[in-house]
Amino acid sequence: MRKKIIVMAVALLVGLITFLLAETLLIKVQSTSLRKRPEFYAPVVAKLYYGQKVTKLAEEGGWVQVRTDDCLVGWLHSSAVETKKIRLLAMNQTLKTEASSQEVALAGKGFTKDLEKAFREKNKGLNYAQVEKMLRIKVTLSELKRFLREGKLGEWGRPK
Amino acid sequence: MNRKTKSLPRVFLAGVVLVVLAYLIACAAMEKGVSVLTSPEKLSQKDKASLLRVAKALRSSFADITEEEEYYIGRSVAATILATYPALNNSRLTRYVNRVGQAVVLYSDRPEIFAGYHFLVLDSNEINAMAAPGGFIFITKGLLRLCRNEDMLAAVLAHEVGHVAAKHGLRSIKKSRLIEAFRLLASEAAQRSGSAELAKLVSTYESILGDITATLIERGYDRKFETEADELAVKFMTRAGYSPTALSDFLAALASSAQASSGKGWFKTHPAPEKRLAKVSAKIKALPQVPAVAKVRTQRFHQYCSRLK
Repeated sequence: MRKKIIVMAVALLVGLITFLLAETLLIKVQSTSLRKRPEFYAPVVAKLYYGQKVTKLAEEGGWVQVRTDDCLVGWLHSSAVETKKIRLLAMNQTLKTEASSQEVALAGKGFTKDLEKAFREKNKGLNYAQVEKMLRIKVTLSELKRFLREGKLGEWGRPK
Repeated sequence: MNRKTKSLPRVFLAGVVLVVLAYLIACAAMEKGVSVLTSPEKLSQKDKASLLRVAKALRSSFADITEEEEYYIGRSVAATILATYPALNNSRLTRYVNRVGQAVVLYSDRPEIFAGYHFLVLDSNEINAMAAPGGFIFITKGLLRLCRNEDMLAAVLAHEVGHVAAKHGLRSIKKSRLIEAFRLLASEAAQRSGSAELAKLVSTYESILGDITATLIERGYDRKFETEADELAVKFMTRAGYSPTALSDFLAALASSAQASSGKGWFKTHPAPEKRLAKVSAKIKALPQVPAVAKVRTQRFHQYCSRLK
């Protein structure tokens, strides 16, 4: 009986520690795809957006396995997430003693749209119209896949 | 002894209760933290103030610039470049250059950035290529003419993607200016329109953009950044299946170009191609396996680029 309780308490403690250390990651790009496997060609599980929160489950070759708020599990390329740890236990009166840069920017204190607007008012004659046009150029993943295959690139270029 | 053993389970029971309690408190704490992260509009004044305090203490270098901020900085740098260099009006060619660029991006160390990478051909005979932060990459018609195949074009684009991936543009901002901007951003006064702090913030931002633009167009990056971008280019190209020797071919073509003595464009902002060539060749020699140039790629390159000659 005593042993059982010890085991239970230890298990609970381990579980709690794991829970508290679970890394919460933030999506740092405008949008990205949660994929079934750690590769760009894998089927898409869900679309995720800037500032969305996910929990890290595992890591493999530049990819992280995560769980979303609605319990979807999949893989994200590590360049799409902010990896700075959020110290849950450090929260008290001051809310948090550590915050990532992204959190600060999300709170609206960064080089963002408003600052660009003020800069543009002072600097007329810059070509933002062409920048917008440039941003509209999109190469879809299926188009890129075809391009790689035709050009014997990527996995289609590796010696058999 | 007997009494002691009997009381032990109670101690553990109390321990368990305590652990559960701590768990519940932590859950509540997390909920609060998370809601702050995901819905900034719901921030209370107190929370906002504490975030500002954190901001002041935390942000001090280029590494603290977020992806979104990098994107906004890049937009203005790109708009400045495009005020000097007009874009080439050839959507077919633009599309092709973007496909080659994305092929390299996919195999780079930083495939995902805030708004993705975008490539544009500039209507200029000057031999030049530039990368603004946030993935705005430019290549001139003059430089395209120097390329003899798709792999050489991929080499130039991979070098530029390397600059973005390693954040060389952001690293060229003067540190004192960045610290000043972070300080102003964290001050409540700079949030009010018409305040002296806001005016100061805008002019500091102007200087930050000026640092990057001057580096891209006039001064050139630090030599060590150019070496790093060449090394990254070899890495990304090889992973993507392009022949890294195309970078050597490109540097050789650059060295023998008639524009080499002009001191314009890439010749002004980059180290001598001969010096880069030696370093790149050594890097390629160290690779276990090197992909070859595929005919099918050279053919499609000529389909798109032959009319430029």
